[in-house]
Amino acid sequence: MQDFTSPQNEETVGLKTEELTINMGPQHPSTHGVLRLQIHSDGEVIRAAYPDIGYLHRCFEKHSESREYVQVIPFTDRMDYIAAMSQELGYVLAVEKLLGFEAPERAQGIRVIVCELQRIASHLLAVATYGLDMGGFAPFINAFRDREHVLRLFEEICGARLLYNYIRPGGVSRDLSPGVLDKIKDFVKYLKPCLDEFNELLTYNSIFVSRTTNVGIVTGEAAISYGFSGPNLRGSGIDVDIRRDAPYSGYDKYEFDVCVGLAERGTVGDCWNRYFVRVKEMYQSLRIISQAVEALPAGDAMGKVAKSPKPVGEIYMETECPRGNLGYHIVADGSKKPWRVKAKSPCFIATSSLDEMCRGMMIADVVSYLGSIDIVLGEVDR
Amino acid sequence: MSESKGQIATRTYHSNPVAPVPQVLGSAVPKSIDDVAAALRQKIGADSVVLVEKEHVGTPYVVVSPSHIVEILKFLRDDERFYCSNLNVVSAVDYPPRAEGTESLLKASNVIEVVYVVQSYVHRHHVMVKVRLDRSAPKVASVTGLFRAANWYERECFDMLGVHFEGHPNHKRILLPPDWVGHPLRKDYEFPEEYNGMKVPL
Repeated sequence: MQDFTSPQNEETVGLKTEELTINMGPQHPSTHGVLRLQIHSDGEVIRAAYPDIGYLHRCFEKHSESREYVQVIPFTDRMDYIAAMSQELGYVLAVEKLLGFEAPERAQGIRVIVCELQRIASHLLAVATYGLDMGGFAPFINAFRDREHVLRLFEEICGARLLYNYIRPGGVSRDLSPGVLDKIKDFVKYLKPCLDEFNELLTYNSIFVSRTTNVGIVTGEAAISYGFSGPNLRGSGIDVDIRRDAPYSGYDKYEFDVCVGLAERGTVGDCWNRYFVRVKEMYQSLRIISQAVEALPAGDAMGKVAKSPKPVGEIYMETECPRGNLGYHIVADGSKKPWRVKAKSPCFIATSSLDEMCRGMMIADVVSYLGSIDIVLGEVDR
Repeated sequence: MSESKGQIATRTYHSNPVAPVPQVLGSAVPKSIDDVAAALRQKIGADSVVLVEKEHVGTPYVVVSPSHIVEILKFLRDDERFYCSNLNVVSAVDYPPRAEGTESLLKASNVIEVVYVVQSYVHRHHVMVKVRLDRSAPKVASVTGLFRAANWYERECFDMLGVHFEGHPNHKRILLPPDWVGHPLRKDYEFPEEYNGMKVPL
């Protein structure tokens, strides 16, 4: 029998590994959507990774040029379909600012409540699928069970489970139905122990920790240069949050902490720290919700705004969405339709970091990195 | 981001491990878009600033000459009064030529505007800088050397509006297929009837 293991064997002395091109996606289960990654690998080590996006491109920016301002809101829902409420809020706030209008206090309170519920639902999905990518099935089931409660609350508040069209220029489309505040209070009480249980199941699980710590480290400087925002930026140790630094919709009235990566495990900026920022943020969202529910004033949920508003001006405005800072650049020319709506998507720019960050990684770690930056392809492609 | 006319939103400082805090600066931190324009005129040259727009509702901005854009963004990024280390967005807007005798509330005509928004995490302000380009052959230098974020933003601008960014390392379409014809966000874009032999439903 031929001996392949011996170094003296002439055939194995000159054995080189050839660079291999692998297509990951567009239907790969752990790409969280239709992202195609062209990976050039040398054995298990990645030499280059080229993301190929655009599979979900609908060009909502072109659509919105032929729609009225209010009719653009459903398009914004469909960008990041996991966190539709937050996407609506950013657009509506920008339009309201152009109109020089501020929503009634009650509407602002309701907006904060629904957006923080949305943040919890979004983060639950993000950490659950991340756990699933890393091989943990039980936390996934638990988190989806908890997310279902949020979706049921939304169904009661506005009639839809995923794409809401709820926040409108002027306020919200309908006031909270009677009894829903009590249900929200019950949910806050219910979720806290569930999150603690989730931490025990996944966060400090040694397999999960060893797969995610010290993998895909993004330094603070690189994160800023790439324009990261939200949990991705805070995971790299940068203490920035629009809700605190430039509060909108009455966020300055509530007490909460901005969570940054503190390297409880691993290094600041690695996958585990980005993941854990999301977990910590859910606790803070619960804090905000319980304060907002207590402080919710009586009054109108909808102010007086024209049915088809005609603003004039130009604005760039960002809000803190679950996946980062979503910005809208709107040029208004005084007609019923916007001249230009541009959405700055945090996921788009997080995806652009894939090439540099994945070089030198193992193939299995790409899945780890991809899950930790939490992209939604609907928002990348818009 | 509460902005009255001409004011840049500023907030108090929060700890940022990346950039050192210029404590001594105090009042030198720019308060309005006029201060930004004055600093640019002084540092880059009097011809670098074309006009300052602050009377409209929304975000005030400064229009600069396209030949100085790299220098200007580098200055805004590195100068301790600005520290705009984060490129928020590169957007672009098409303004077709206005017909004779028609009124419009738009601020420009027959240009393509490229809009850069840079933000400082140290001073908590953001600055909107614009360049106005010729519609027939829009061309501006790429700022990929300054911000890594610029890479994909500029590719998207090229894809959607056909703006050429000179010196871009990978100047290709990004959202549309590579063989797509035209740039959809141009106002005179004609919807294609078919793509690769497939009928496009409208």
